Formats: sequence, structure tokens, C-alpha cells
Amino acid sequence: MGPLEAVKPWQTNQLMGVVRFRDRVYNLAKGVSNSKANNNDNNVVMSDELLREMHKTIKKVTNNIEKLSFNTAISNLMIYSNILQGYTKNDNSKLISKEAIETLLLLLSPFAPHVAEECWLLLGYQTSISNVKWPEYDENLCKEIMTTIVIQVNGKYRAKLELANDVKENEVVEEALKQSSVTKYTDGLNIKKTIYVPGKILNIVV
Amino acid sequence: MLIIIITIIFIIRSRELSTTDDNYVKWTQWIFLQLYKSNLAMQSEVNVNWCSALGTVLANEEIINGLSERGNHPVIRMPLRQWILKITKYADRLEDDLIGLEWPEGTLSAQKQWIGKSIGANVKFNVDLSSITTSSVLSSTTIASNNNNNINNLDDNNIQLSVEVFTTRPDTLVGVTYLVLAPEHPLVDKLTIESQREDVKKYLQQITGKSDLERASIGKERGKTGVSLGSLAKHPITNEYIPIWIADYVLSNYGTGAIMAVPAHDERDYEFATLFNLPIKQVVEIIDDDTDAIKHNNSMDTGNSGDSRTTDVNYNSSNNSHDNSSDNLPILGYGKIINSGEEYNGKTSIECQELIISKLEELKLGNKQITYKLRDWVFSRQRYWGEPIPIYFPIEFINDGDSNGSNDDHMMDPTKGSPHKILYDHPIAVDECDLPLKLPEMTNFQPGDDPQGCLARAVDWRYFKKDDGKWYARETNTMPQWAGSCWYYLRFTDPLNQQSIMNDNNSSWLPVDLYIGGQEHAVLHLLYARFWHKVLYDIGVVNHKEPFLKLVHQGMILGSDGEKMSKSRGNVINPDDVVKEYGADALRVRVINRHRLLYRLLIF
Repeated sequence: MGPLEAVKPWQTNQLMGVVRFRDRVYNLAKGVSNSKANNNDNNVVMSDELLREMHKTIKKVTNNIEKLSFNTAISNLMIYSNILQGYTKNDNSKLISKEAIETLLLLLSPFAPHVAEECWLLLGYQTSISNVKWPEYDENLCKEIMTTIVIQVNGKYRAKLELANDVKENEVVEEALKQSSVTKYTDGLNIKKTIYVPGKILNIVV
Repeated sequence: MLIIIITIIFIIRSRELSTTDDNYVKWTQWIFLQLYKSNLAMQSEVNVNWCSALGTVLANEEIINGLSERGNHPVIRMPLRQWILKITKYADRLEDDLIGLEWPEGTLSAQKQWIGKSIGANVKFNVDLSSITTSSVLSSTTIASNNNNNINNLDDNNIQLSVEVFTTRPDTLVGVTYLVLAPEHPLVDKLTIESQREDVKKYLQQITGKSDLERASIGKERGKTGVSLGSLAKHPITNEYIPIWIADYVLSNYGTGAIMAVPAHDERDYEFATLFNLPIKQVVEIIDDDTDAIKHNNSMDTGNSGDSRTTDVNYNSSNNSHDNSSDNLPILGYGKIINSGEEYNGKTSIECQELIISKLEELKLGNKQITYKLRDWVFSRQRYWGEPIPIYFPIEFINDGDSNGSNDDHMMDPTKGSPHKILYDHPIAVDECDLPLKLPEMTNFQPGDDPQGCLARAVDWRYFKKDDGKWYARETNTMPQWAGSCWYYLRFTDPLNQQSIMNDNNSSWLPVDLYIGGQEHAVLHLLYARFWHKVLYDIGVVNHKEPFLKLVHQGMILGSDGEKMSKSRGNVINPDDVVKEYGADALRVRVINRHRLLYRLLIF
């Protein structure tokens, strides 16, 4: 039984997270429409990283909806909106592209149609968002970029792992300790510390 | 990639429909006529609970101790002419076609149980005629001596009285220690011995007029009642003689109107036997390692459903205890057979059932029998607000002092009170081109004290003359609310069509890929809609056997105290208030955003 079928008590105080999310979306749209109004260059080219995040989000939310996992869809949209917000905060000149925010609105529109519609108008459109085609994702852009991480024990090379380039240190350690070529040298010994060079090397000191 | 999930939700105004629109009612009535033409709709005299003070028929659940729950008015049980739909003709298909549907297990199971197909046996108990013709009073202590003295004269007799019963537990046959007939059973009189006549007569007077529900009550204030008829029947397997009783916990209108009592393995029989000191013989013990039995016992219905015993409101068939001591009788589940003789001892219930059925067939004292809990659907209602049933009847006028009814007299007018008889056994279907048959305008919709309902008072609508100059009377019953909801999903594909119910080209929309609705409709709406859909399939209107491929029940939102929202608990959240404060979208997203781990899941 999935979350849709679950029977739940209502807690009004849990609305605040959703209200903040909705306001965040609105502000993002407003930001883009303001930059147009100020004649800033709104043909911002999306960074490769953002492009990939966008396509991954489209794929995830589309699949979530088909499985009726609406709660996961909302979570993914919240994550995506946080990423977009990160871009606007860090560097004023790194404006998010119109396409990035439009995608968010289209994916959000089945759940929050009023906000999506209003933001759509803010972006300068004259017709309803409900007639716009659902976003498509490019499978290639959804693939994780893999990288080879070298696993050392006490400075000596013991294994090589293919992992996603944004993997976290504890995940690398976990994967490393699954390799028999590594555990041969760590079994029965205390791990004093781990030295991790992101995307490159993990050194387990025992 | 286009997302094709829900095929029946359209935003365009032209796909909006209302089941009360003339252009929708027309086709609801059209479907009724197809049912009628296929002999799936017919009239029947059905016993109903009529409350004249309230002016309505009441469901069994609305009556307490013979009085209406609302207002404590007297209720009488009376036969009423009703329309029924023969859903039982589709029982097997309704069960078989559940396979392959992507529905929640609980709902599939609920459908199966409502259909309640059970395989059992008919068993014939020959009556010992000498037990009736002797005038001695028989008690359980004299039965043994009678067994020894009794010379079986049945071979010499041409007349053979027997009691037929149906049972879903032929494996317990050897545990039968007495028979019970419903008080209305046709053989009661013949089977009552002289010395019991007084008691039986008194008992019958006591219980007439009680509803099935009252007879079913197993409450402490009202225990089981019954009377011995005094005669004996012969057990087909053991050849022992067992007493015959009548009791009102056995119903006449279901099954054969008689049961074989197995007090060790049925709660109702157990209570009865304890009360009247009848023998209790255990023949099944529960075993741990019979997976078939465990599977069967874990399904909800391990009692003797499908037979003539009342279905008790409080009956809880969950006594699957593994304690085989006789302190723990009755034992309701399947298990291993004991005390039943060499041929059956040690076999599992399921094995034994087959053996017993074969033996009965060999002795010509029984056979395998399939029954269903599902009964035909009482379709008519005696209220105003519903689709009129498109049927009318000829009228015969009654002339004073003239035994020949005649319709030719131009002075006769039923709307002006001319005495007449409506010939209900000659129903005539309204022409399809005359649909929809609309409701008349009325200013008073009160049901009144005529069980026929308020449309009977709309005389100008009810009575009409045809081109042949004769008067006719319309059916005054209307359809239940189920009618509109049975087929609305397919009308969305072609809601404006005036010529047919659905254009052939639109059938590619069907069947429904995903149906979302509350679990409270797990049985009735879904079963009725599937039934109508199968009829439409048979006449070629739809191309698929099942209307709804995948079913999802959205969970209920409880109050913040974790209980179902109710005014009495004061935990109702009004969505309008939330929308006012936070906006509609925030409410929508919040409702949809339920985290998997944070809440307990309640499974119905």
C-alpha cells in the first residue's frame, strides 16, 4: 500500500513547509520576470550541471506520477526548487534560465495549478499553462557521470571503484568495504581515519 | 512522452455530464430495457419491512425489536412487488474475471466474499416414518433402544419422506446429531408427532412476523429458541437415528429451509444443542501442518455460510484455535477428521469432503452442489427521485355487478377513480424511441402511506391512453442511485450522443486504465458496475469484459487525533478554512505530500 492509499491524520502545522515551497517557486518566477523587465539578458545559457539536474527531475517526477507516488514527486520538486534557488543566491549574474523555471512550473502544475498558472503569466505568456506539452527528458542527460576512485589501505593501492562523481565520502567507504581486496587488509583492524579526495582517492588508515 | 494515466478526466466543458440530465437518463433507461429484453430484469414479490407511519420500506438494519429505529413506529413484514435484476446469472463470471485485475487484495477478496461461491453438498436424510406414527414421546434416552428395536419398513413403503439440506462442510457429516427445519418448512406438519403438536403450534404462533434480522440475533437477552417435532431421521452415513427440531434460527427463504446440525463445529448449533441438551460430537481437530486448511481457515469465512442458517450480525468466525480439547468447541476451521469411522478418520477436511460427496452420490442420498451468497439485486425504489422504470401495464376496469372487466367503456377513467385492476403480470416495455420517460412535476414528494410510493399519486402521469384507445398504467417504481453510477464512466467517451449510448469509435478509450475511489465502494458499486458492463459486453456495446483494469483507493484523512473525522468527536477540519488561510494550492500539495515513514498505515 503506497502513501496515496494510506490513512493519515491531519496536522495543520505541517502546512508551513508547503507554504514556504510555494513562495519559493513564486519568488523564483518573479526573479526571472524582473530580469526581463530590467532588460537583463534573459537568454541565460544553462550550465551543464543545471541542465542535467533539470532532465533528471523531469524523469523522476514523470515516473513518480505514473506510479502514483505523488509525495515523492513533490519531494523531487522541492529539491529542484532548492537547487534553482541556490543558483540565484550564490552569484547574481548566474541567473537561472527561463527554461529551468518553466520546467518547474510545468511539473508543478498538476499539483498546484493556481500558482503555476500565475507564475506562467508572470513569465510573459498569454495562454494557459494547462495547454502546454509536458516536458520531455533526454535519457543521456540523466545518466550519472561516473568517475574512477582509487581505494587505498594505509597508502597502498588495493581497489578501483566506478562511482557517480557526486558520491559522498561515507558511500565510498561503504562500497570500498564491500570489496574483498580491501577487507583483506582491514578485517579485524580498527579504522583510525579515512582520507578522501573527492572523485579521486579514498585512503583508509588502519 | 505523453502521460496517459487517467483516461476519463476531461477538462473540456463538453464532456461534463449529469446523471439526472434527460440525455443521460434516456440511456440509463435504455440499458434497463436491454436487461429486460434479456430476461435479466423481472418482477418478483419480495418480503419487505413496511413502516406505514414513516411511509417507507426499511432495511433490516433500520429496525430494532420490530420497531423503526427512527421514531419507534411499528413495522410489518409484507410482500411487495419489486423489480429485481438477475445478477446471480453472472455470479461465476463476476468471480472468475477478477483474475488479472490490478486491484487491491482486500477489494478482490471483498468481491469474492460477497459473491460467496461455495462448493458443498446436498444431503438427504430419510425420515423414519415409524417414529411419526407411534404415539410415544421420544426423548434422547430412548433413541438408543429404538435403534435396536426399529425394523426398517421403509422398503415396504411407497411413501418416503425425507429432509434435504445443503452444507458447505460435508466433511463434518458424521458429526451431525440432529436436524433443524425452519418453522415455515413445508414438512413441519407431517413430521410433528401427536404429542408435540401443542408445543409446536404455540411456537409457530410466537415467531410469525419476526424479521430475518431479529431471528438472527444471538444477543444475550434473546437466546436460541426451538421445539422438537418428535420424529426421527436416518443418518445417511452412520445409519443412526437423529431427532428433528424446528427453530427460528433457520430461515425458510434461503437454501433448503432445513439444516443438518453439527454443534461441535458451528456456533449457532452449539448454542442450540447446549440449551436443549442435544448430543455434541466432535469430528474435526485442527492440525498445524495442513497448509490447505490453514489457508482456508485464514480466509474470513470458515462458518457454514450458504446454508439456511441465519447470518448473525455478531457472528465472528475467527475461532481457529489449535486447542483441540472439547472445552474449546465449537471448532470452526478445517482440519483432520476424527470420530468418523475408518473410512474417514485421519483424512483432511478437504479430502474427506470429496469422499463423503462420492459416498452420498453412490447411496443416491446426495450430490455436489454449488451455491452463492450473492442474491438477485432488488432494483426498484418507491421514491420520487430516481429514473422511472420504463414499463407500463394494461388496465382492466371493474364494472359493478359485471364479472367481465372491460376496457372499452368510454365512460371509464382511472384518473377519475373508476375502479380498475392493473395487470402487473403483463408488463410492456416503453418504446426505445419514446425515451427518456421523464418524471412528472409534483408538489408533494412525501412517500405517503401507500407502499407503492408517491408516483402512484401522479395520476395524470401514471395513467395514459394509447392510440388503441385503451388505458394503461405506468410503473411507479423508480431506479436506485446505483443505476446512474453503474455506467457513467463509459458515457464520458461520448456524452452528447443522442443516437446511441456510445459511438463505436470511442470504444478505444475503454476500458478504464485507472479508477480512483474510496474503499467504501469495495463491494456494491464495483460489483453492480461490473455486472452492467458484462451485460453491455454481451450485447456488443463494449469490447472488454471488465470496466476497470486498475483500482486504487485513496486513504482517508483522519482528524489530528488520529481518528476518523466526525462531528461528535469534534475533530473535523473544514477545508474551506484551510484554503482561506493558506490558499488552495498549499492544501492540495499538503494533502498529496504524505511521507511514507511518518504515519501508521491503516488497512481496512
